[in-house]
Amino acid sequence: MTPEFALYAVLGAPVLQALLVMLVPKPPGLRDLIHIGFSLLGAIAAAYLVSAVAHHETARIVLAQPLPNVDLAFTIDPLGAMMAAVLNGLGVLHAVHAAGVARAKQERAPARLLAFIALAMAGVTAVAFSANLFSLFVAYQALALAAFPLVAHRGDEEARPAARAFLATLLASSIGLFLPAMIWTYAIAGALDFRAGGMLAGRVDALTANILLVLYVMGIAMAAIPPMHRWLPASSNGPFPALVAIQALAVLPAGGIGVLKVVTFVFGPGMGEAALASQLLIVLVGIGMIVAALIALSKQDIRERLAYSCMAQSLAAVMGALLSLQPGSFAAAGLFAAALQILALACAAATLLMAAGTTAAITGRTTVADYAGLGRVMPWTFAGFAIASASMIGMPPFAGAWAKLWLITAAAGSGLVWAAGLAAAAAILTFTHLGPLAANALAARAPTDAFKRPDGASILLAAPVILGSGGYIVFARAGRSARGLLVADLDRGGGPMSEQRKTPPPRSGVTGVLFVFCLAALIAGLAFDLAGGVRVRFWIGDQPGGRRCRWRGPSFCSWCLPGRPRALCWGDGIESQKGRRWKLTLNPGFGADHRRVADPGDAAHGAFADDRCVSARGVLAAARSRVRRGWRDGADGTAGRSVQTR
Amino acid sequence: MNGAYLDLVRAHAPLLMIVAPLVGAALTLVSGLARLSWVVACIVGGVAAVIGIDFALAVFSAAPPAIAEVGVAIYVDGIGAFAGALMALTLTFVLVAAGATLKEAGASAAPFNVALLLCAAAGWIGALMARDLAAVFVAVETAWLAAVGLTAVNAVQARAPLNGALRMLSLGGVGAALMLLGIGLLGRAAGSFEIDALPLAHISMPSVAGAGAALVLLGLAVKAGVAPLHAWSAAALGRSSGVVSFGVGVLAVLGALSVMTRVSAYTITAPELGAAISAALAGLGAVSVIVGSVQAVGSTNLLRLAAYAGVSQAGCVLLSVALGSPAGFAAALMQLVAFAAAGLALYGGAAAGRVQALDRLDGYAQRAPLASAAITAGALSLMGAPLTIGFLGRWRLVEAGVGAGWWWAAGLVIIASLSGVFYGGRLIERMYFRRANAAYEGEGGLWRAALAPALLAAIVGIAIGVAPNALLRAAAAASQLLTGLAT
Amino acid sequence: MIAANALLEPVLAASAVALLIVGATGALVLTNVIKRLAALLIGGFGALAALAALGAPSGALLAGVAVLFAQTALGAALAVRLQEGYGSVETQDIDAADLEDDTRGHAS
Repeated sequence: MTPEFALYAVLGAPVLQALLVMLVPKPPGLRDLIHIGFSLLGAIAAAYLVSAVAHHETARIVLAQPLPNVDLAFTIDPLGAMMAAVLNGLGVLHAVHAAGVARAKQERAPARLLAFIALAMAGVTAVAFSANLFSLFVAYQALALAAFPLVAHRGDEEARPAARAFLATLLASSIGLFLPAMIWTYAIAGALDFRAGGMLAGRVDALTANILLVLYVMGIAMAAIPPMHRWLPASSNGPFPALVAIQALAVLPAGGIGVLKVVTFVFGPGMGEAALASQLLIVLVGIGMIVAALIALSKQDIRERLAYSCMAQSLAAVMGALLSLQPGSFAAAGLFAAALQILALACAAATLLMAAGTTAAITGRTTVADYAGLGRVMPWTFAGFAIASASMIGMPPFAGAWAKLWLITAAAGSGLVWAAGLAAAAAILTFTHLGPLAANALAARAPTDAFKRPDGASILLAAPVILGSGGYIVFARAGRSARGLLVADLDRGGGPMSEQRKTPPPRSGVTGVLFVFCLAALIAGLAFDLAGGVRVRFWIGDQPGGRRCRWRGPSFCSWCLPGRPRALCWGDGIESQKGRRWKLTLNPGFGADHRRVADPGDAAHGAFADDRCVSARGVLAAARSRVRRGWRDGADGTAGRSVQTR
Repeated sequence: MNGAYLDLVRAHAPLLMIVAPLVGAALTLVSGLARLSWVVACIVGGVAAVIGIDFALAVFSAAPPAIAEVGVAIYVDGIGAFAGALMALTLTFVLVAAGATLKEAGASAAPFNVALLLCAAAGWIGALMARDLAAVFVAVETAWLAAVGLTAVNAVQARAPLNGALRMLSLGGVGAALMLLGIGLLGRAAGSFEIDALPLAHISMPSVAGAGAALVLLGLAVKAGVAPLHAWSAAALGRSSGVVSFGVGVLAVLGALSVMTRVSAYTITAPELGAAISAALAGLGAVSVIVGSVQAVGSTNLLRLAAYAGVSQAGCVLLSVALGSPAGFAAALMQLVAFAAAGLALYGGAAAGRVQALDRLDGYAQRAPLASAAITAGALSLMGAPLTIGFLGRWRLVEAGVGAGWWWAAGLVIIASLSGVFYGGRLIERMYFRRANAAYEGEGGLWRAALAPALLAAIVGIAIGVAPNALLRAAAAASQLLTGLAT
Repeated sequence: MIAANALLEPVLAASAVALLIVGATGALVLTNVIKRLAALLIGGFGALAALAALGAPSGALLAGVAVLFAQTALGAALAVRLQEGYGSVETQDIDAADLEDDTRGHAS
């Protein structure tokens, strides 16, 4: 694999993925396999590009030449590669989660949902790898158009005006503000290619630089800078997989990446001519962060609360980018803070939204008040929720803490101590709207009527959450490497980042701290339950009680066959009334007509009816019967008869 | 032997481009049968398109061809060659697409419909190739009256097109009278009625010449549907059939804009007239962009929305022409291509399902996916989405405008694009994200496929923004070639 | 004599322009379709007269006459169709009927 091929792959795979998913909407198993497989392919290609960049390889591809001196080109650079790798990596988890939620909630048009999620990922990847302003503009618009169907997905009376607000805000700001700025830049610089040190460096006076900065920053409405932030709360009514794509993995990060690229490659770090506008924008952004955090506190719907929380975090990234325009030696620190903040936000927001999606799918609960005690019956999901909340708040040792530390360093070093104060205030307010929520979910008494689905959350829904939160561990460990990779790109003047002494690096041993933290939370929860007389079985999927597979003989996955998906179970095949055995249950589908509901009482005896673990003979009989009957509606496993066990 | 015939055709190409549609019109009337007349018309249109494109390529080559003297004074300049080929190509797709909507006005009217389409196209192409201003006038009026006739003949299922035809006749008649007076004034002041003499003529009475040129352009502006002279367009197109949408909304407006571009190219380059004409066109263009954009945003009828969007696009064309530079004329030509493509897309998409009111677009994507794709492409082009021909045309205008210090032109382009976001986004949302509330009402059976070439051509034309080098070179060559080829 | 001719030319041109303006105004303002056609005819004649006064070649004049004739014929046919379709040749009635059709079309 060459870097050029990997670049084509990372850009083209999501497009092909979308096409195939639309062409093959059924069987749902195959559709989901395609979706997850291509996401994995994109992530592998993106990871390869990080490695290529680390080895100082370069690649540039030109897809079209629509204008003289202007190419639609994409190139690899450390910033873009890092962003694409993290976002595509999280995209794999999201792909798994989206498949699970689409089935669990019986989303309408799941193929369309997954296809546009893939296209949105293609858009943000294109933004990350854009080689010039024109490519950035094209990728930005393409992303807005690809994300629009996600907001409009439900097609109801709430979705339509939300979708209109979404598209109108993003496109209008990009055409009305970003495009004139781009044209102006073209008139000044004669070209639109990104240049290290800034395209406009030494070419513009202070007035022009300030006006251009305002046009660019306001024109990139995906960064949710007030007053161009309307689209974000408007989009919060969409399905949860769409919310993850919009707020965590595609649209919001694209805004941050866009601002970062413009500041880095159009203006250049330390461009003093734009200092005035950057300070005014920092004030706006800082106030926006605080107000967003306050609004989040007032919201009872978890989606709206997380939307405003993500907005506050995105504005922190913009603040970091704007701080880099202050003259002085701390410019690159601001850029690094912004980059790290974007990545930390992606991890945190994805985890939080996936956790909320799992909760909504399994319990039907979407208000903050209803989250109390849910962590006791969904320990894995809410462990991830808690870790992600801690990162959003900026608690060490999670990635979000280091981003905020760098942000404060950059602000203080640039002489804008008040900016550091604004960031700190926003962090405190973030704690107020996320901290008690996460703690209450774990500490309050477990509700007895939590689950609307008796079998709880499958591994499809729970695993991505906990693996997403595991991204903080990766980051904490890899932060040093990331900084090393980005230093060469962002800090060309031998500034503080090269010295690596200005801020404390992530400590080693953080994995141990994290493990102790999670274990402590879980043990505390279990202790409360045991003291209260409620028995909790701890399975790798979030389950209301213990479930064991009653089966006879070997079984195999009939996931891809028509009909309701079946569980893949393996073990010793013997139902034990006494012992509790750990079993891996891969349960991709949920029947609407389970006839036996497991309750905690059953868990004590370990007896339940599982009509989803079937024998080989049973599966073949089901397949023959299905072929005879033809395709039925609900073959995605959300309706239809169960196949009887022998 | 074949080479000799080919050379003969090339030598008479401009005349053939005018005569072939006229002969075709006669043949269609003689044939009398609806489908037979349609087939004849398509063949004739295709022949004219091939001749036109071949001729245009020859004109822009290093060795332009010689044109045979045929008694009619023909003068082919770069704009005439480019726009003539574009007209002929658009005519072909319009004729093919008309097959799907031919019988809406009744089988007996079908031969008249295709004959009038051919006559109109012949008129516009003739106006692009004529040397004498009076010949330009005759050709323009021939085309316009054919368009009026087309509108009136098709007022069968709805009577509103009759009102539209009346407005076209009234406004067009006034425009014709003014144009005639303008020709007289211009000819008297410049000492010649030949168009190519204007840039080099010694104009003894600049104010008279300026008034004359302004009146000529005013007369053409009425036909082009430029605001505020576009009172006819909503009535004529709002409840029209597919044939009228194509014939008037696309062909007539495209023809008028092309002729306006050509005439402006000669009057603006005349030193005594240039500044005044440029200012007049700039003002008219600005008003047209704003008025057309506002009206399109507020429209609840798809055909009127397309008409008003066309008004806005016409304004952008006039802004490009007003620059008076080769870059400006090249931008105008690009925008003419964008106009044709977007018009075919929107009107063709509407004709596929006989959609007039916007709410009938709900769920259209399920009923007519290709038509929906075409409308989407048209909407994206009107928004100025990157990699579309619409973006390319506007970018060239902005580039040329900024180069001339016309920053306000960039602002107007932004307004046009922003309004395109609103009304184009509305179309896309209705088609793809609402449930169908009406059954498909398009032509049934095989004839439904007749719209496909036009829709596909529109999509390809819009997508040519991805790789527009050939088109950019042709437009640049056309704008440079004002000295032209004479008989 | 020569002076009289020199004076006559601008007077003729001015008269022709006045005729054109009257005709154009009438074509835009008058509400009766037949009257509009008549106004168009007058305006056309005014334009032709102005053309003649400005010394245009006879070919241009003939072309103008032909166009005027075609315009008038088409206008007459249109007037008949309007009368058949709307039952009136008054533009106010025609516009009101169109508005009613539009409203009915929206309602259905």
